[in-house]
Amino acid sequence: MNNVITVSQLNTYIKNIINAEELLRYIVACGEVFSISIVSGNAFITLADKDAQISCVCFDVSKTYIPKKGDKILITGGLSYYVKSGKMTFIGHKIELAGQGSLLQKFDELKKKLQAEGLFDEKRKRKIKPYAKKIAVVTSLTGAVIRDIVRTVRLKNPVIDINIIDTRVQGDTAYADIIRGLDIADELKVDTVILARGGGALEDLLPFFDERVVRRVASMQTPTISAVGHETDFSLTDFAADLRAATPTAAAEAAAYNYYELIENIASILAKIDNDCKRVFEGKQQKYRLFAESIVHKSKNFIDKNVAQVRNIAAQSYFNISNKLTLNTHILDKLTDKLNADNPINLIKKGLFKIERDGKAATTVKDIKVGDSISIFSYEGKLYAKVEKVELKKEQ
Amino acid sequence: MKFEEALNALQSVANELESADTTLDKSLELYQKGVELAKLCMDELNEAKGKIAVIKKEMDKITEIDAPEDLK
Repeated sequence: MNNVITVSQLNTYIKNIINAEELLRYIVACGEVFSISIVSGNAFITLADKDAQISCVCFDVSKTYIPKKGDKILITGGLSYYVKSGKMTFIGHKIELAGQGSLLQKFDELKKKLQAEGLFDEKRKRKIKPYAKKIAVVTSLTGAVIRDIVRTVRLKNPVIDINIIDTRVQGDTAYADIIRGLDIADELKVDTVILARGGGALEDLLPFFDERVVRRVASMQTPTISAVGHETDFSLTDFAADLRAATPTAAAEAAAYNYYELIENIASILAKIDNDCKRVFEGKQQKYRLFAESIVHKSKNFIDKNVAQVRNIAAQSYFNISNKLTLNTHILDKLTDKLNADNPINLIKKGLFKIERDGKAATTVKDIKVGDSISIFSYEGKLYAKVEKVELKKEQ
Repeated sequence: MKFEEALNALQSVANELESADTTLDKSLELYQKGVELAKLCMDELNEAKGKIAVIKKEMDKITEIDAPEDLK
């Protein structure tokens, strides 16, 4: 009974032995994924081969490749023993696909790394200039790609300046050529850079997965379009560029604006402006013409009315004054006639005599009696007489 | 003397002259006065006539102006 120990003592003893074993701290274990579950960003994997299995934990899977069930993988990490539960777990830091998938896996890791750095962030991406005057194409002069690009651009736009920077796009040192090409393109101060390559096997596209090339694309001063391979191909430069084009032709489409459409648009806009101006001008002209006409009409009416009124008053006044003159002339004529009719000289001249008695005019025979002394006036002189007889006409 | 005054005076003179009981001397005197008044009145009327004629001519000239046919 000398060797009785507690569970805690036993587990601590085991942990000490394991911790002391250098070999167990850094292991690359190869096996198949028997089961995998991701909980709170940690991957719990049961790694197995045909005879054995072990529990593995990978903390923070965003930093590593995530395998699927059945994948043959390599996990790099170390063993850890837990005193509390008495269990042993393989703590993995890095997971890789074993065998054929390693190239893609490498790219995936690089992608994750650069992504974590923010190199592929959407907010870093700039808009491709809609009306580029000058573009640069970094690609190989041999092959169909450059012909496709030039033909596509020229179909849309006869004036855009195309600078071609001949670059090797394949081979071990192609990465340096591409970087040099991008440097030149940036120095040219063009509006848009196209980095292009035709389709090919994954191995052929390697320079476009090269970390140095991808970083150079991300650091371009000029908005850059990456067009590598065909629709289904993806390269890391596609993620780093401001725009990914599915094909070189698509890149050309994106870089060049349609010159003919633009000219047509401008022409139609000018025509519209011209039309609008004309319409506005004519509208205003019509308005002012009507306004002027109404003023003329009103003024004319006003003048006509007043002229007529003045004429009426003038005619009326003339009529009145003429009437007055005529009336007065008439009155004067009558008075003059009367005056002349009663002119005593006229009467006497006509042979009539005027008789006065006692210094008073006698106008009737009745005033005079027999024996009265009377004075008889004639034109030539005066007679003094005594009345001898008075004879009255019989009353009628 | 104003025209109306002269005309009134002429009227009274004519009336007085018409009445029968006026002596010849008085009649002659009235007649002479009447003629003078008539002349005065006639002169006034003639002057007025002349003035009216002048003014009428001036007025005709003024009212001859027509409203403009077209101000456009």
